[in-house]
Amino acid sequence: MFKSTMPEKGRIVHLQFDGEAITAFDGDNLAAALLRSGKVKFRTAAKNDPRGPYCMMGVCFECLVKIDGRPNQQACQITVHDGMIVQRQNAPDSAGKVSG
Amino acid sequence: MANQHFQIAIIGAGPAGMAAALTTTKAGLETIVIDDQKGSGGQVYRNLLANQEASPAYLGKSYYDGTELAQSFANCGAVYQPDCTVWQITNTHEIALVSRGKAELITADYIIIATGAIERPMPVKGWTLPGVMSVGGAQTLLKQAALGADDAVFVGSGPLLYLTAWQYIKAGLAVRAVIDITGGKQWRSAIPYAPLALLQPDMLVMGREWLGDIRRNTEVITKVSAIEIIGQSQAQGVSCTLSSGDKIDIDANHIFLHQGVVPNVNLTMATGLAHQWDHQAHCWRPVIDVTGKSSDEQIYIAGDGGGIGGAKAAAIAGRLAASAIVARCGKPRFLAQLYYKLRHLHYLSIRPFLDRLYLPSADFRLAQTDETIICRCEAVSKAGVNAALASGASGPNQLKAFCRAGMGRCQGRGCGLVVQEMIASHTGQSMAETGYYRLRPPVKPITLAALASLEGPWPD
Amino acid sequence: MARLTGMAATRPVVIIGAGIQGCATAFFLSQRGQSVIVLEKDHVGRHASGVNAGGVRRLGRDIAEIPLSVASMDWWNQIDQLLDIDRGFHRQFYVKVALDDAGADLAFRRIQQLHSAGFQHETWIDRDQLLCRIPHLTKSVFGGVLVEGDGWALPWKITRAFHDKAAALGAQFRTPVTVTSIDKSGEHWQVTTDAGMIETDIVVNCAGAWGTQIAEMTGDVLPIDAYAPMLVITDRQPMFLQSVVGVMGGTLSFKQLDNGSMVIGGGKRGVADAARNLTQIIPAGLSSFVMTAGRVFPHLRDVAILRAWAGIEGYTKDNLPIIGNGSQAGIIHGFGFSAHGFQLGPAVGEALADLAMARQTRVNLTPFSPHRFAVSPDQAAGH
Ligand SMILES: Cc1cc2nc3c(=O)[nH]c(=O)nc-3n(C[C@H](O)[C@H](O)[C@H](O)COP(=O)(O)OP(=O)(O)OC[C@H]3O[C@@H](n4cnc5c(N)ncnc54)[C@H](O)[C@@H]3O)c2cc1C
Ligand SMILES: Cc1cc2nc3c(=O)[nH]c(=O)nc-3n(C[C@H](O)[C@H](O)[C@H](O)COP(=O)(O)OP(=O)(O)OC[C@H]3O[C@@H](n4cnc5c(N)ncnc54)[C@H](O)[C@@H]3O)c2cc1C
Ligand code: FES
Repeated sequence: MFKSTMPEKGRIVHLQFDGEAITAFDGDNLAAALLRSGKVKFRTAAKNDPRGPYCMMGVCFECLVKIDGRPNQQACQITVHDGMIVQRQNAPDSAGKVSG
Repeated sequence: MANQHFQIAIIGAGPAGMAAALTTTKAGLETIVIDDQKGSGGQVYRNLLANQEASPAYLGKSYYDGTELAQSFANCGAVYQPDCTVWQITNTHEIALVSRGKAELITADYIIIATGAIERPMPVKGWTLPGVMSVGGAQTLLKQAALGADDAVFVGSGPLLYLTAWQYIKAGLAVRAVIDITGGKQWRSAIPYAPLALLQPDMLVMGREWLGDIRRNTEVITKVSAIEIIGQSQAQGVSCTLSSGDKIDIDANHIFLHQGVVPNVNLTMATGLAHQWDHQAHCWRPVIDVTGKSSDEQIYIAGDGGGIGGAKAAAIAGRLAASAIVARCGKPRFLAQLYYKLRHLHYLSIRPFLDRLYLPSADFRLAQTDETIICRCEAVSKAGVNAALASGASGPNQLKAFCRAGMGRCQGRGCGLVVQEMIASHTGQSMAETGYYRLRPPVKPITLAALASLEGPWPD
Repeated sequence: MARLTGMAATRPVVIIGAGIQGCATAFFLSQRGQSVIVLEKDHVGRHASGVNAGGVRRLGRDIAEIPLSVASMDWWNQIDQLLDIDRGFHRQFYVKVALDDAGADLAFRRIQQLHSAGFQHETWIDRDQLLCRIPHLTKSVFGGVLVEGDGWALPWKITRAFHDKAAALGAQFRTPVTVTSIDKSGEHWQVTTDAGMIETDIVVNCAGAWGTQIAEMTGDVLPIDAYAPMLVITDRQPMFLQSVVGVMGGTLSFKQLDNGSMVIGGGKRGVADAARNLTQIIPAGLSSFVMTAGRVFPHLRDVAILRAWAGIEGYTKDNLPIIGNGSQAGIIHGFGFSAHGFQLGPAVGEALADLAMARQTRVNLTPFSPHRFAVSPDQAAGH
């Protein structure tokens, strides 16, 4: 599990991940905040294939989540804000229905 | 910024882009620097200015070497547009941007593309499982969020892997193991170029220090012939087969993969610039002259995006391209240009050695098992690509239509080189003949509303 | 040309171009036992036929083109059996929606015009019915013109399937092979390529945007313009659309594929460089038809576009294709489909096969006659 390598500081920010309350620090990037809270699974690709952040630089698109209702947000490229509602993003299956 | 024209547009605020901006602004040229990250620094100096205050020592000297450059850039007077992605450059040198859901077009007399490198894909079985990240990703977490994971396993080869494992150790994190896939064959092909590398003694000394500290603090496994990641819904360990045939299983929830970096060619290719296959570094690179000028007279390419050279070479390449443009704007800089050319050559002197030593073997460039995912976005396995080849796909673009590999959001960044090499080994053609995906704008996905914002607000 | 009407020629018919027209022609000829050689400078379906929007519509066609389009629809409705494929044609309905008074006005005039020409397939659908069938449409829609049974297909899949079936029936496809000249030699034609020369009695020009050059090699002056209409594809979304949607008085084409992705086009053109096989996307053009899509489906605001592309297509002056015999015996032209030739493919393949075998065609091809553009070579040289 990821942990801080420096003394934690900064204003605490509250968010939700699939309904669960999570705290982060002001200025944190969302992927980092979720990883710090032990969340590694961010979405599913087709066939329920679980995925999580891979590159952290915005090129792999594995970290996609729904933020405040908007799908396909790259968690590694987004800064947290208070009250952010984050959801795992599940890929439509081959029939186009959203699974899970 | 709507419909603005600039003398110079620089894309990317890593060492190459920042250094280029110092030269163009000093010459009084109106410059805009566009970068898709929140802060300057690029990959190598990510978050450097923000890290000044706490200055964690574990990031090492090579990181803080960028401080002066980043600070000068902050004060150089260029228009700096962070959090902004360039999604297309047209042949009339219109630059299409998108920032926070809004698109814009700007134009420039000269464009410097300094979009850096990405990591070479490392398709091993299970590499899509949550918990598996690239080493670059792990390092970015450390630089940007001061986050690290205890008991992680590093797998692969190359300077970035050793540096990051070293930074982990210095940060007080327990590293479970480093599995080094560098083979004896690579050593044998690299050794003849070692004398040239001696021109950069500080780099070699630094490398030795990293490797020494790593060996003292963690288990280093070498002579590896195969790697597999174990786990169902999340990574649980690595299974590693040695050339002796022995198998080692290591439990780990965090596994970091890396086998070198390659130029990020998505923007340069989508812009229609000429590219060539680089045999030594086994990657595509844009065709550029010594100053970085591409096949388009108005477009220069600086830094790792033009060919991997590392942070210092990138900064000099930025200076070189910028001074060539300044010269074309009527302010010749003969001495400066000569100096930058020599410095650039100097920094590149270690590449022939490094490129050969850390070019992964075909075993690791190509996937080892049929079920290994090649295209992560569309979840196409090695077997899927092979099936497409068997039914007659004869090139990367045809293969897309056959099996969808390369059709996803990452636009081939994660599979292009692997697919290309699978096709080449199937058809017997060279990598250059096989070619790469035809890349199309937008270089990164853009929402309908953002695209339509060039016309006006989205209808409700 | 000593050849009996309707009989197979002894030398293989040479077809230039492996787009849908070339592949469909090869298929119909092979099915009738006529040997064929198809020459393609790139690969099968590399150009317009592999990358188009896949709209299979009778809706909105020029009146002169309707009989051909209707004939083609017969083939589309049996395309799976014809080509041994699965779900080749997604038979739905195609509607051009009217977003304002002007659009509705256009719609009424169009329907009236068709009725007086004797065609009943386009009908008006009012707002409520339309919203019932496409609930996500903008609530400010007025209604639309609709054709039941139009739909879409995957262009590459269909073109490839015509190729596969033709090849299975014995057609020879030679790629990449570029035709460089065509010369009369006694009673027959010599087709010279970068990979040797082929003698034949019949040459079928299915060279798409490059058709003018091939025509010229046979002495026919048939100018067309090469343009590059643009398309975008989005990421996958939950299914919400089982029809193809356009707008009255505008140029939108909008469909959702069965994997959830949407393909959106709209007449806007990029830059075409046919000589070098290159196209360029013009961002402002994309923006314009994406905005039109937004007026029709405002709920798609946050959907991402993954790729934009353009395909090179040949356009004639009157936007009708060139289909028919050239000025010299043994030369047959079928090109210049002006961005709506995909749906016509099967019927055009059949018609070109008929011409190649000197049979009566099912549809009257007079409106498409190459001779409607007739200029003598001297005239052409004059300007
Ligand atoms: C993840 C990673 C970590 C690395 N870490 C190190 C390290 O610690 N030490 C080291 O010596 N080398 C490191 N490297 C190697 C690195 O490539 C070079 O050392 C150096 O960063 C190259 O500098 P540059 O200016 O060419 O590109 P970069 O530093 O990569 O800068 C390019 C910038 O352009 C931006 N960009 C890219 N595309 C677009 C676009 N379309 N629109 C807008 N902006 C765009 C990028 O986000 C980035 O900020 C790393 C490479 C990677 C991929
Ligand atoms: C973006 C776009 C969207 C479209 N949308 C639709 C739609 O929704 N519905 C619809 O009905 N139509 C649509 N069309 C039109 C349709 O795609 C074309 O009309 C049709 O594909 C034309 O087929 P073709 O075989 O004539 O041409 P092509 O597919 O262009 O084939 C011609 C072939 O000839 C080859 N060739 C040329 N010169 C030579 C030579 N000297 N030697 C050997 N080979 C040669 C070329 O390489 C090419 O492969 C669209 C077109 C485009 C570009
Ligand atoms: S982790 Fe790769 S894009 Fe976010």
